Amino acid sequence: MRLLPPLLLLPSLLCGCASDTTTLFEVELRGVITYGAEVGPVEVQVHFEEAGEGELNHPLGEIDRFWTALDTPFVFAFDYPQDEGVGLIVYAWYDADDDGVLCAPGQVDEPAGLIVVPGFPLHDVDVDMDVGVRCQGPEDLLP
Amino acid sequence: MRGAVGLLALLVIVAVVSPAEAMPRVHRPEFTKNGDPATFDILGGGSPEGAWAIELRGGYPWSSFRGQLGMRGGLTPLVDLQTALFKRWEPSLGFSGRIVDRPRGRLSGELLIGWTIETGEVPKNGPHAVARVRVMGILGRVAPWFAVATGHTVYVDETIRISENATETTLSARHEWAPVVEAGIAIAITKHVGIDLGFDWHFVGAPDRFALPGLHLGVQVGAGPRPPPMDFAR
Amino acid sequence: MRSLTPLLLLLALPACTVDPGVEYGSATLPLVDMHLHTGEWEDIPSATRRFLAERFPFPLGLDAEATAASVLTGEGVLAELDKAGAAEGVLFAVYAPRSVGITTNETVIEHIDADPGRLWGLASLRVDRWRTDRDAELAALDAALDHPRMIGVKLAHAHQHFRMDDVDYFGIYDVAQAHNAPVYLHTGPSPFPGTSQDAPYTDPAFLEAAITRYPGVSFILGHLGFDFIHGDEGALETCIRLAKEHDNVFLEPSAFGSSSGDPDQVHLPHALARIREEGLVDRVIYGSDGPQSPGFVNTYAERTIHAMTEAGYSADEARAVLSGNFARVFDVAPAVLP
Repeated sequence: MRLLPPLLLLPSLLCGCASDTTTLFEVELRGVITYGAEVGPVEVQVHFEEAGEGELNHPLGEIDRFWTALDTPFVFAFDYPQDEGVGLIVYAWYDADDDGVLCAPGQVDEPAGLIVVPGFPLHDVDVDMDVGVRCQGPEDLLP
Repeated sequence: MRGAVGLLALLVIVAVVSPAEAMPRVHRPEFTKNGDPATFDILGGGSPEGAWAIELRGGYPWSSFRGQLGMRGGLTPLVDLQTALFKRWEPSLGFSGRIVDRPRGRLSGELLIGWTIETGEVPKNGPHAVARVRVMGILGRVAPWFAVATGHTVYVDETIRISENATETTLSARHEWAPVVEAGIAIAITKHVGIDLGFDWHFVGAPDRFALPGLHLGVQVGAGPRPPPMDFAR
Repeated sequence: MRSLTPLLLLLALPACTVDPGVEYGSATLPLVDMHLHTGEWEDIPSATRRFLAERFPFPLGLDAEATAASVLTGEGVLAELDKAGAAEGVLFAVYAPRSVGITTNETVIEHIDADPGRLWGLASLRVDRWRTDRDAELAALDAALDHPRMIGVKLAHAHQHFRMDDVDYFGIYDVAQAHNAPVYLHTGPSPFPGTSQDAPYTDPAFLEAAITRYPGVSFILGHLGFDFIHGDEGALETCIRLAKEHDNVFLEPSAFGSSSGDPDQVHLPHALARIREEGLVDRVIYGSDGPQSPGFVNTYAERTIHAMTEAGYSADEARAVLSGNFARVFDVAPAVLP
């Protein structure tokens, strides 16, 4: 019975009948996030600039996220699902107290920043960002 | 599920240990003396050589069409089309054959391969294979039957990756398991026409997804070398 | 076939209408379900439609739109309330285009009109273009709350993507306060695609700034902070702490006690037991988060009654949870049995 799924796969491969098709645009994001001369962990999120049709159209829509360090060059490759939205936004915040949460109650007011990537789609995106706005999610930093 | 297994076991016992001295084992050349109605061929599995039978079944959520033709050696090619709410379609080709064949009962097996096409919110399509075991007890014109099947469908997903230098397409596969439990009462109105009322439970997407059980009413029609008269008194 | 499906569903499911009220021990108690959804299938984002369709029992997901339509209209919701023996229900407006979709205030009001004697509504507003649309959205919320049966505000920071402690949005509580309207808030991580799972959007601890600043507004913590991603109690203890420390905090145990979220019936009995231990029974307002699928509203009521029984609730305490606290907090006439 274990052989059955691979055997059943053959006809699909031969006829090219896919159930679902996803189109991914490969992007390599490079850059540096800075906050004065400080060093420490920073979370970077990549979002669509806009997604959804008609009444459901909305700004943002998270694609991926990763951790890096302030003032340290990073390279991050991700797949951009190009049927799900348009444009690219890069948002970052500095985890000054290293608790994994942006501005937890009673803790440090941590800085954030956001950039709308011009000219997207691009395979190579360079971002240099200086974070500085306190305790703001990406929705608050939209231009 | 435990009840279904128990019923299956009971029907197998009835089929296999029906009294051999009173009812001599049916041999192929004499098989048609059994006067098997078309209804029993469809629901019990297999057809005598040269006999054909078809079934149209309507129900919720599954409806189906099946046709089969008996060949030499007991092998019975069949064509099967099942649909759930006319949104999921499963056309198949295959064959069935009787494993145990007694006047009071029958045990058969069948294998089918085909294609699953599902429309709706999450469209799917891909090849499938089904293995089914049927058991039938024959009580004159009436025959309770039971079937279990294991269905396997493979859906292929396509991923198009657009890199700086090339566009590549890769395929990945998802397996969907659909075990099926069916049971019903077949009634041979004549040897050519009969009906069946039963339930069917197709566990599509098992074990992760729950499924609702279904009911069906089937009409079977058939012809071919079936010698009259049928001796229902047996 | 689409029109036939709901009919067939009724045949396929145990869909009997029961007498009004629910049995609790030897008592028959009125039931109000304060958490119900309505709306249109096409106003849900495609990723969430797929998510839902794949979770409907087979074959209901094959025609998910028809399945949803059979329970999401005002008439459909009333039919589900009837099955549960519920006297009244509360429909939620939702503006979450990135996650669970949109049910406008107007749609809720339209469905309330299916039976204005039994249905209430909670109004909501869009926040995804707050910088430009803030004033217009607050004005629209204010207008919706003028409707006599729109008795509160529904917010879901995780689905709507705004921080629970972001003072830029506190104008919403000003509007609620002006209307004496309680505010229902989704708390805890959510399984729907497009949800913000980060703590500032899901952890009720982040609501404390607003709870403190608006003592005149009732804050109803939906789902008790349950973590639907990991299937654990999540921020239950935070919800209990907030309720103990703030008189304007109420608790709503919807959804996480369902057969899929709590198959062994552990989480809901535990949560209700903890609430009772802390002397907070008068803060609990029953809701199911239905209709979801045919029969869910009834099943959830049964599971809640089981959980309260397990947790040792008296009939009077159960009455408070199932209807009395709702009437007090929303300042409406208590539901009565006919």
